[in-house]
Amino acid sequence: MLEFIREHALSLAAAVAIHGLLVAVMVAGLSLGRPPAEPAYRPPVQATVVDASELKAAAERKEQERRAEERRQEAAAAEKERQEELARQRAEAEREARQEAERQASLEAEEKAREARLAEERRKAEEIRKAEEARKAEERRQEEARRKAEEEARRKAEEEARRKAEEEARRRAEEEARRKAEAARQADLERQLRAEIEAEERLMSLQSSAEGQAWIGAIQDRVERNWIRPASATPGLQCEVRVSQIPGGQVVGAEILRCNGDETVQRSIVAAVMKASPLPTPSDPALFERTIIFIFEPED
Amino acid sequence: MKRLSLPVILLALLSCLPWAPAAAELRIQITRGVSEAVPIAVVPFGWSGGQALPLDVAAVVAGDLASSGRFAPMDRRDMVSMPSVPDDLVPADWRLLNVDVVVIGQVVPAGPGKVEIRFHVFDVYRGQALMDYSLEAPVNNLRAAAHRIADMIFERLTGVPGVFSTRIAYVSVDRSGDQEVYRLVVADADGASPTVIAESPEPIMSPAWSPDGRRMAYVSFESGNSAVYVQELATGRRKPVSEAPGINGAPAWSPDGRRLAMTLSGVDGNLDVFVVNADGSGRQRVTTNPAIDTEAAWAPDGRSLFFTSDRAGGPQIYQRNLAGGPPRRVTFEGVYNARPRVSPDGKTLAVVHNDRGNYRIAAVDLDRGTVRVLSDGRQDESPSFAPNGSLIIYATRDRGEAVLAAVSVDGRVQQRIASTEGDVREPVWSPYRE
Repeated sequence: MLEFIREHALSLAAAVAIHGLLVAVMVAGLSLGRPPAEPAYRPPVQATVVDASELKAAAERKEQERRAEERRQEAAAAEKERQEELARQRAEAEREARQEAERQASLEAEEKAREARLAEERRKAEEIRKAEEARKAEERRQEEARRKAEEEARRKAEEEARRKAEEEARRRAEEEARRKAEAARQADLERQLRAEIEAEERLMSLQSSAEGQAWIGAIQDRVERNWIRPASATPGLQCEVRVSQIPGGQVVGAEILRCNGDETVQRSIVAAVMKASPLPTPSDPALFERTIIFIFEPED
Repeated sequence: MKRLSLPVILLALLSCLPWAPAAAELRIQITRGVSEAVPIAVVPFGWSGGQALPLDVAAVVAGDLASSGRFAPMDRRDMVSMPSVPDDLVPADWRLLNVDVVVIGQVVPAGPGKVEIRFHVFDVYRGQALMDYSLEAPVNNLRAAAHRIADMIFERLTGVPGVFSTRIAYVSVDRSGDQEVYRLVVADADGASPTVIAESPEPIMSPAWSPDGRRMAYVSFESGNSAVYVQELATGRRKPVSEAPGINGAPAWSPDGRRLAMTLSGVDGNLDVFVVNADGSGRQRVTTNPAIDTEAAWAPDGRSLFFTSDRAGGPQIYQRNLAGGPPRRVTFEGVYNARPRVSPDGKTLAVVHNDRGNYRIAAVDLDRGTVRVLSDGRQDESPSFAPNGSLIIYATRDRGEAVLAAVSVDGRVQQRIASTEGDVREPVWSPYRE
């Protein structure tokens, strides 16, 4: 009801105003239709009759008084009738007003019911509209989600396919590189091995030839004479030093490779090979070796 | 399975060999060297002060290094340049002179009566600095500083601590007057700065340093009979610790300095080894054999004594565990092995050994029992290890006089100890200075 009032406040206010106006007009009408005011009451004349004339005068006075009484009674009856008429009119007006008010109330109720019905209809229509909208929105949403899921799945599938392709390509490239590196390494190793075998053969022929043996012996002797053996160079010592020489026999480098001796021993070994410079040269220049490894293994 | 190719198999085999070279290289084995002293140049140290210094520090350093027998200092007249700071040193110059190591230095004033000595040691063949060091010293004691420098250089170059700052004690006999005078002398290891700490017309014998180097035990006959005394070096205060009837001899300090082993003739007149507390109390008998047992020496762990005994006929060395058990003979080579002294590492004994009629100093390898003769005199005696174990000092005879000499434990380097005049015997090397 309150809701109804709130929703139709304006219409209600208008209806009330119109009714108020109607009532005011009717009341004003009643006031206008009232008869004019009663004539003013005149008190009887005070006089004393003295002769026949007087009597006659008195009889006339009496007649006059009787007529006055008649007029007065007539006036009272008229007044009464007028009053009754007024009351009757008033009751009629009241009845009419009551009937009008009832009619208005009924009209008003009718109007209210109509409005309520309309409002209810509008509400229902609104509800239906909203439900419809919600349903459509839901449909759209579901449609969108489905579309997205499909999109995502497609994207993932593509991604996976690309990744696999790349992986495969990389694996193949690696495999290829590895195979090539392995082949290269194998070739390298074989080359190295061949070189080593050649060098080994060369060394063996050097060491087995009289010239080579003489040269090696001369170098050995020279280094031994230059090695001031420290007290800590005891049997069990094993030190390797790689010596680089140039064709004149000049020692240009000495590098300790491995040594279980102390620093004094290592210093003495470097000094020995440096002081042995220039090393004896072979009688056949072809026998010359650019690097020599000396193994210091003192006996007791 | 894939068949392996021949090269692969060969490679696998090659890589298994631990000594396989990366590439075939000529390999030459060196099994011998020479026992020469390492050529070294000790260039005179620069001096930036006014008045000349009272001591040529470089000369003392060179002298110390020479006395070790391990180094041959170059004659100053052969030096082509005399740098005193590293920037002025040209390694190639010294290589031409066949010098392995160059020592240069500089002395600068460092306040009243003090100097700072900066020195540098170079490896000529590797072209690198081995030492850069600086120390302060009072002008009136440059000798001690020079010995310390020599010690540091020696240790850097040999890996063994130097003993140039240590001292020796020995007994000298002066026969110049009407009667003999026995003196107990303490001197620098090179024989310099001798100081008499005891003097007597009666024999003085068997000096022994306490392990802390502050006290000396020795035998003196000054009372008419032998007695063992312990004397404080700093104060000269001394007291007898054994005055038993008969013989009181051959004191030897335990490694902890709390006890003395000595030889006593005891009640029956038979010589045996005893152990007493350093104040003479608590005497314990160690040997009971009716033969002569004497000249005790402590093992470095203090648990056993080595001593000389003739229980098998001739003198030989035995070892007796102080916890009990019978003595064990440790020398078998030769007919005469006596007066044992134990090396600081406990692996070697220095003894007097009869070598084809000559009494010589020999080293006994305690693990293997082998004897190696080190000296070449006819009447060498009283060996004593230097505290670094690399040298043995002993007494020998030279033209009829008893003199002091030293030999390296490998026998390769022998030398006379200079500055010891008169008849000197029974040298003993001090421990390291604290």
